[in-house]
Amino acid sequence: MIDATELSRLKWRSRRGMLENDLVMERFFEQHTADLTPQRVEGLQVLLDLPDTDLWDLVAGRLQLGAGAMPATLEMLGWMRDCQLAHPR
Amino acid sequence: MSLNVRKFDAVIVGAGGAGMRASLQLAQAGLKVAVLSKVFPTRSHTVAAQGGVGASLGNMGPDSWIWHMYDTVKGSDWLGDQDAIEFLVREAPKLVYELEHYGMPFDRNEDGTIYQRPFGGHSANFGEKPVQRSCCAADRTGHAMLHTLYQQNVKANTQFFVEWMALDLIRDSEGAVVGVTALEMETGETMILHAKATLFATGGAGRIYASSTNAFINTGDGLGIAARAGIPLEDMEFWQFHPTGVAGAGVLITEGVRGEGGYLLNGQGERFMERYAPTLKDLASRDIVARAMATEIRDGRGAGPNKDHVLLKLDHLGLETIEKRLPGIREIARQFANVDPIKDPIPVVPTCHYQMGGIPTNYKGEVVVPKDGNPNTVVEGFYAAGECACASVHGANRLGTNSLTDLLVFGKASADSVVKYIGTSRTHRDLPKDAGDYTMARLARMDNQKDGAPQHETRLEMQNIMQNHCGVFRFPEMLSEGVTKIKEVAEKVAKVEIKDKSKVFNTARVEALELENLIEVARATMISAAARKESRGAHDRADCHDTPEFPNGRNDKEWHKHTLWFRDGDRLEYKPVNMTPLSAESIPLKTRSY
Repeated sequence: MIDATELSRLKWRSRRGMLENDLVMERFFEQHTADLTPQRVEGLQVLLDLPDTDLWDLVAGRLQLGAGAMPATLEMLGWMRDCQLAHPR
Repeated sequence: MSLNVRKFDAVIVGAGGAGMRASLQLAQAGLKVAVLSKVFPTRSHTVAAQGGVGASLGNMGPDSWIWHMYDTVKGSDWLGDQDAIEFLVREAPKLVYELEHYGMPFDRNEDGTIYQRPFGGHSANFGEKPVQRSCCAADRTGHAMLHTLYQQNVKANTQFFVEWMALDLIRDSEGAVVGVTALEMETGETMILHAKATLFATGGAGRIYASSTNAFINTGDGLGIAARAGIPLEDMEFWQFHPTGVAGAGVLITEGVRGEGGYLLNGQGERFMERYAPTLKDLASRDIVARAMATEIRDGRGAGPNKDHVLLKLDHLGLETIEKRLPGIREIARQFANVDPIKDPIPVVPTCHYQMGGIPTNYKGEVVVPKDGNPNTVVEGFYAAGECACASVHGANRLGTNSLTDLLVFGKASADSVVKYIGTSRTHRDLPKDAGDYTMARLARMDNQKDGAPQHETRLEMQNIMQNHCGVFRFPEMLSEGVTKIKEVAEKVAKVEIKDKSKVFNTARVEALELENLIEVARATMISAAARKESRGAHDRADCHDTPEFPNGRNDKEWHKHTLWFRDGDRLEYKPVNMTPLSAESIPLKTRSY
């Protein structure tokens, strides 16, 4: 678990230019906040620093991370991809 | 309590396409500029624009700015101001070439010129045949534009204030704008930014609706701030909707799905478009499809436990067609509707996409208000550009690709006006003694509120009221009920309570402040819409339909005019549409049909 201010900052920096990414990140935090560790946050940061279009292509599986990607980054991308709607209609 | 003051020549609020085009101009002019942005500039919503920039370069065949002008006036259903529209279309090619020069990776023809795509509504020779006018960078035009502008700004040493939220406008006793108050999220400090000129480029407020394609940041901050400072909002009843957004999420499902043979079902499994458009069915125009969907939902024939959406069926197209012809759709459906469209239909609703109205400006990007009988008196020191502004080039409906054209042309034009206004010798007007008081009172109210409404639930309530009462197709009784309901929610917003009172990076406070901006836009929209008793462009009323006297339900005799909504007392005024272009001949009123 990470501290509250750090979490707020991280959540705000997950506000994106594209709605698709906003929704993915909203669900990500709904489901995984308790599992975040400093290492995972570092992995997540790599993804959040990407342009919106690339981030969405990664989540949608149209783009793959390079061979040198950190394990934590791969793990976080996996979480983003697998988040299902918290409240399916 | 006195606030820290920082002085600049100009303050720009918002760092999307319009804000960064403006800041570039100001930085190059050697002015000291602060650009405030809630998020990192390249994460602005401009990034989501895919359609391209409309400009009559004529690279694919003959084209002319006069034809672009005609298409824009017609698209606007004759509510756009023709001086501003002429300015837009004549400046557009220059701004595109300038971007090219800055390194924007436009798609190219074999001869090296910029490739131009066809796009709905663009024609040659006044509606005679389609013309290719849209300049793109693959399907990432907005992204490429934002990055190009950002790089240029870095080069020009523009000063960005990232994760800063503007809170209120500061006006002096003569009404001139002398800066803004703003919150630095990292420290929680509120500051005064004292400026000779203040330029808003805060984007749209699509988040007033429950279903919106807009990113979460699009909370209409500039509009809320302007409204609280006594500036009216223009033509807020006009919002562009897209027929098929994923229900509950808003993510766009391309119209190509219906083009490929997908069709809509209501809650009873009926292919209802057969009733509304027997020949074209699901391929009928956007307006007709969206109207039919809204009618099915309103009449209790929606799908799902709340009967609040309809279903888009495409499983019959087969896996191969879906994957080949509709790339990305399966992933969007899986991610945001939890369905695999190969087996199950996608729940969809008409979804808000673009705001045509905004802060009233002239074609120079100067904010204008009615004063002493002149409906367009310039507010000294105040400018606006992009989706937050209403010049008005989009009128009652925006022509596709004109949003990027708008932010380039008016981003630059408003900055040129700032440069001219500041000149070489203008000094800062004095700050009023009570400059920060209004903001501090708002923040103190929020911190001390007891037994108030929670932010999140109140926001949802507002969004649902807007969606149900003032959506894509508008029913008179729903509108009048909506006016009562939105005023009730506005009272709750005025008492919104936050539990977290911490200073550093308090996102609960930021979201409550955003809600205070959203509610102004929601009120303006509902009240302006209830009052406009005609159908025009995107404002489509069930009680104003197509008759010989009023084709398409449009009533030019009574309603060929701009709405101005004032926050104080929810007062409405109207002002004439400018039918006199700068140099071209006027495009006279005509029935709009495609």
